[in-house]
Amino acid sequence: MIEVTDLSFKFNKKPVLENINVRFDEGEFILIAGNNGAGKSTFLRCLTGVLTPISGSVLYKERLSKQRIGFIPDRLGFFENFTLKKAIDFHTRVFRTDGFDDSLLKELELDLNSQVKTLSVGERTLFLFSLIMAQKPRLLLMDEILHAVDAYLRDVFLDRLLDMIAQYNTTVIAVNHTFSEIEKIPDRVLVMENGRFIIDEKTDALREKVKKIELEPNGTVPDDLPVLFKKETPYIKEYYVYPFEERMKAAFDVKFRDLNLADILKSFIGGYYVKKRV
Amino acid sequence: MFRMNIDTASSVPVYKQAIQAIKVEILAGRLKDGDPLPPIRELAKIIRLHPNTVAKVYAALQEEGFIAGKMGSGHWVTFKNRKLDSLKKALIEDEFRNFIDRVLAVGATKPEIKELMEKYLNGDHHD
Repeated sequence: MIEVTDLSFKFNKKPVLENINVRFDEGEFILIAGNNGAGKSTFLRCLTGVLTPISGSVLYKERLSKQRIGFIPDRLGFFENFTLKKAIDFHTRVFRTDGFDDSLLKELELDLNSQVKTLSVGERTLFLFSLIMAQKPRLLLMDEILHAVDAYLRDVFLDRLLDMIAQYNTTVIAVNHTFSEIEKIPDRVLVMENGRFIIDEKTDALREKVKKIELEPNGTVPDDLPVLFKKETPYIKEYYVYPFEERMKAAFDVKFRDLNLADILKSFIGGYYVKKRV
Repeated sequence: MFRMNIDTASSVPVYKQAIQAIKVEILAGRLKDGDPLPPIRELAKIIRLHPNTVAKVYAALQEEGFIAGKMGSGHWVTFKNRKLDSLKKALIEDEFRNFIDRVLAVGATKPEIKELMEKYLNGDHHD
């Protein structure tokens, strides 16, 4: 559905994205994780066309029209002084949608005559979502906004998101959405570091490849064990192993524990900070 | 109704866990022959899985003969007892293996496990 070729982007002459090559297929749910400043938001903005890369290309297959692309940025500063009603009129006209489903606004008891700026972060996110829903999106790009949304509204959001996917087979690319409710949904995970993707794996494969071992305070690991990230205090000694291979179990007598996705991603991001310090 | 516990800290893929969970529902009698299953879209929301994953789960269960489905009329449970017996055996073995792993991890020896097993199975563990 999307083919990104040799994409680079600079900001104030500083490289932000470096020679990215990646493709995304229809119906995939992709999670992009990475430390702050890795380039994730810039990458999303290049996909939407808000930013123009200095070199390389973003190619949409089957002539996906802009009208069918939804974008939820990390900061929601849209239509501030508009009333909800006016914002709906505007959005549906710009994207030439046929109609607007106001069921979500009713569920949240939002007043169409109030101004957008009076809404909470969560309400705004859901309001934007219902605007995007009218576009019948085939692609949804979501920056890290759900972390700012409370647990209840996040639930409402996720239900609607799953409805959207079921209805339009929407491809979703979500940045840094690592809380537990969403954990089972992504089928592919990418980790960005210094403007490149260092990991691009199917979620199931990634779960098999990252393991944690817990050692005694004086315990040691073999030199050739690929340790991604360590956590050492006088009380705990945890090593995150990547890439884990079955043969390590025979070679090293310790329990290799499975991890949830949030912990896996945390160890990659932690790994970045360790490398930076060295 | 759906007690589908999916362990996100497990390297068993979630779709496999979901398949297993539905089989457990059938085995435990909470889903009976002929019972309807939630539409893909609804189950996706209940257990927070991607609708494509749920579709894959239903397709696999259909392939194995645990459920049937028809375009437009959804999915429902359908099974043969023979299948249920082998499933039961597989599930019990699974649980047993997990249990053994756990007690070994806390330091039990094989003779100790055997001894405790006898004791509990004979019902004299109340002392």
